[in-house]
Amino acid sequence: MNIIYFLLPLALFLGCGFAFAFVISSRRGQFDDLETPAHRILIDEENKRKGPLA
Amino acid sequence: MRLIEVWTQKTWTPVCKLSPTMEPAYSLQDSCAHCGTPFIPSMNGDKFCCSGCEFVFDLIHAEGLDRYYELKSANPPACPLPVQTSTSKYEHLDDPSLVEKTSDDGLGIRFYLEGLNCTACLWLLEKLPSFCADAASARIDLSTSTIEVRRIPGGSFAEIARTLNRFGYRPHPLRDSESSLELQTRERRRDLIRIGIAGAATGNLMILAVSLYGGASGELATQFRWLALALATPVLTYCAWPFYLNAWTSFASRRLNIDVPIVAAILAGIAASVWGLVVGNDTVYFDSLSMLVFLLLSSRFALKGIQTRQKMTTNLEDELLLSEVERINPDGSREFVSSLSLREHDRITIESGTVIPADGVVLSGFGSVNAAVLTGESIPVAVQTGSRVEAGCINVAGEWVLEVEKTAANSRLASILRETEKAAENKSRIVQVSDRVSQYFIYVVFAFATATLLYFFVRQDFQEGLSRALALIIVTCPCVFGVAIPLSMSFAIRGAARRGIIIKDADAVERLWRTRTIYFDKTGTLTTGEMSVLNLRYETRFDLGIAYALEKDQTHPVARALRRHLTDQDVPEIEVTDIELIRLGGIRGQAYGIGYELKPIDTLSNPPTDQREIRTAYGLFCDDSLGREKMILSFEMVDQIRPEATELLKWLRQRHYSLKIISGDRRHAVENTASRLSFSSSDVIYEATAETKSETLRNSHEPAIMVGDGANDAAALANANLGIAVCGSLDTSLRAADIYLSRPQLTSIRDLIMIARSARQAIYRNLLFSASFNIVSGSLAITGLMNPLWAAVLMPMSSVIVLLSSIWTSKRDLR
Repeated sequence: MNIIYFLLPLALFLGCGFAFAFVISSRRGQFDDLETPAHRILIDEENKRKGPLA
Repeated sequence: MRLIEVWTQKTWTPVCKLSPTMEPAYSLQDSCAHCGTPFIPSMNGDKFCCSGCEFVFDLIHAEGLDRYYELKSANPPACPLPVQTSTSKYEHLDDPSLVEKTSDDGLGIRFYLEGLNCTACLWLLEKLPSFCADAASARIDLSTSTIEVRRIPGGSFAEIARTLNRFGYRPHPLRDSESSLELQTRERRRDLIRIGIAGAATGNLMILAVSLYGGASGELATQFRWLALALATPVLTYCAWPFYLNAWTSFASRRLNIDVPIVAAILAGIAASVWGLVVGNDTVYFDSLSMLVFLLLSSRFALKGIQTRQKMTTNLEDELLLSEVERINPDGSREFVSSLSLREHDRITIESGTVIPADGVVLSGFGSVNAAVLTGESIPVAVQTGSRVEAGCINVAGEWVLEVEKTAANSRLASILRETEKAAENKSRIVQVSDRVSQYFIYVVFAFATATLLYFFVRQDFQEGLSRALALIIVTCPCVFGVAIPLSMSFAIRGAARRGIIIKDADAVERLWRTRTIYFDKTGTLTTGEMSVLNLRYETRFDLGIAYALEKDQTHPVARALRRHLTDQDVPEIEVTDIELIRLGGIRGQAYGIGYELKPIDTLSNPPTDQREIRTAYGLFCDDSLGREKMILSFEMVDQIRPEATELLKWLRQRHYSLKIISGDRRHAVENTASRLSFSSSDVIYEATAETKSETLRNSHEPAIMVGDGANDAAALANANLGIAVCGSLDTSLRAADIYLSRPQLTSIRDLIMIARSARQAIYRNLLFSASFNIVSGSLAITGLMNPLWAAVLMPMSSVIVLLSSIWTSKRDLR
């Protein structure tokens, strides 16, 4: 049963890691527009250079 | 003879190339090469449904952007829409006072775009800088149908807007400045982070909870419980903060809202759990509490998103503040400016059919205005020099010069709007009722809890009393009232928007449930309204000039068609004075001392060859020297019954709707249409003026729906229990009507009714479920058969069921 003392912190660490990643990506605006990128990906080449407006 | 009109940029409605004289082609259907709308091709092998689409097709081809069609065929949009453009020159967009407000550096602007719906649009519009020299960059947001454009320094927003318009996307500038937009974005991100953290913590808590429920015991169980406390701490503090804040505000203002019981449940849960943790028993509910917070946050986030979007598309005040006006400068020159830059004592011209942008006094000219937006009185009021008019009223006839007294922002309308916005926050009746019911519900639950507590206190078993009261408070969360009803409504509104139906507020959905009588306008609603002039006969060109001058400023479809027909012809300019509207869509005026009258007549040259074609004859009369009327000019108007009208009416009749036609047209024309659409003669009202129409709707015994085309039915639309505008200008239609069909297809009405019905079903189902759930679980809690642990598990479950049921209903509808 001792394995739990290794697995549990590991699980929590992973969980915190993902939560942290989510916070960072929301702050950077990755979830501001959930519809357009799904369409944008269908358009290849030329448009890739353009980043979001400053 | 081909009945095709030259499409000029002056007309924003699609001029359909339906050629009535060519029967053989009628069995074939083709889809438009530009927009994909099915249409009936003529013998000439047309590829387009209207000349608007043809124009845009050529434009796209000329710019070398043919890839648009490749993308479009690979990812076809859900609902094709023929091109519609606006007549506006958008010159007001370059007005310095507007530019200042659009962004910090004055180079960026956001538009709400009508007609934006697919990947191909995205591709085309983000290439804007390549074909519009004034644009530096463009970025689309499909979820809100907006485009954010930056211009090159010195570039013109007006030119950008005109380009967008030319390509068939009608731009509506959005007033929100960069800072308010940023505020919105920041708030949204913060909400998302709260949801994310709550979700992550809840997920991990569930792992611990499962092992605890599964029978973990001893040292390990204690450790797990402490760990659960650690995980739940951020959720119950940071994530749940908005609830505490709301509950406190509502508590302080003595108006209990739904957050009060939620917070009570959370705090009770925390207290019980910490107690359980300290004394070492199993009453630890951190997992359930986190789950509750997570679910509530998520459902509110969804609701907020829909509300912001709805607000953006239908904000009346915004539209008003951003309209374009023609200002007359002191030196007599005229320029188009934004209504934002109007100052007191400015002189502006008000054209027929436009919304008055400011309170003021009429300096010259005469006409009539519809003040329904302010007074609810839909009969137009006559105005003349010296009359006072108010912002938001619609000029229904005449053109005049106005001196501004109060700008839109200070107008009476703006203050009314602000007040109503504050008071109602756009809540529909059912939402208001549900708010009130949940308030009473909260009182009842607290009363029961206190009674339970007291009962056991008297019986000296305080521990048991606390446990039962706690279980009761936790399990009976009025979630269904607080979340499910507004959510179902919002889903319905959003589902409708995806089909091009814009619903002004949730109240309209509610009224749709109750209404079983529908009045249809004829011209432009049951028929396409795109009339063509046929068999024009006249004696002298002077007569032609009189007819043109009479109809020059009118917005009726007949006037539009006549103007279009005469555009390319050399018509002498004649000044006609004392123009007034008479019965049956007729018009009267004076020129050189002689009275002229243009009105419908009975004669029909030859019977129509096509079943869907509707013809009306008009004549121009003058009073001759003996005072008798003499016809000096005549022509016929040809209109088509909309192809989908028959199908829709059949569908409605099967569902026992009572259908009626109300039209301003001549008896002959109306009865002709009515008999082809199998209306019984008692359901037909003909030769109705705008006043008769609105009177009929107002005095209707049972609540009635009016379906009409924006401009000329405005009064009736505003007076009906529910007004549905079919394809007019977005701004004016939404002012008068509750619902606006942006696609020129009557079948949208069927979709609308289906959506409203299923929203009602979802709401009733949720109400029934939550009522029975609360009664059963509440009794179980009071009788002690349910401990707080089970209550904490069941409560979020019930919320999930309610939410899923709402979402499932809307998903099914969207298919």
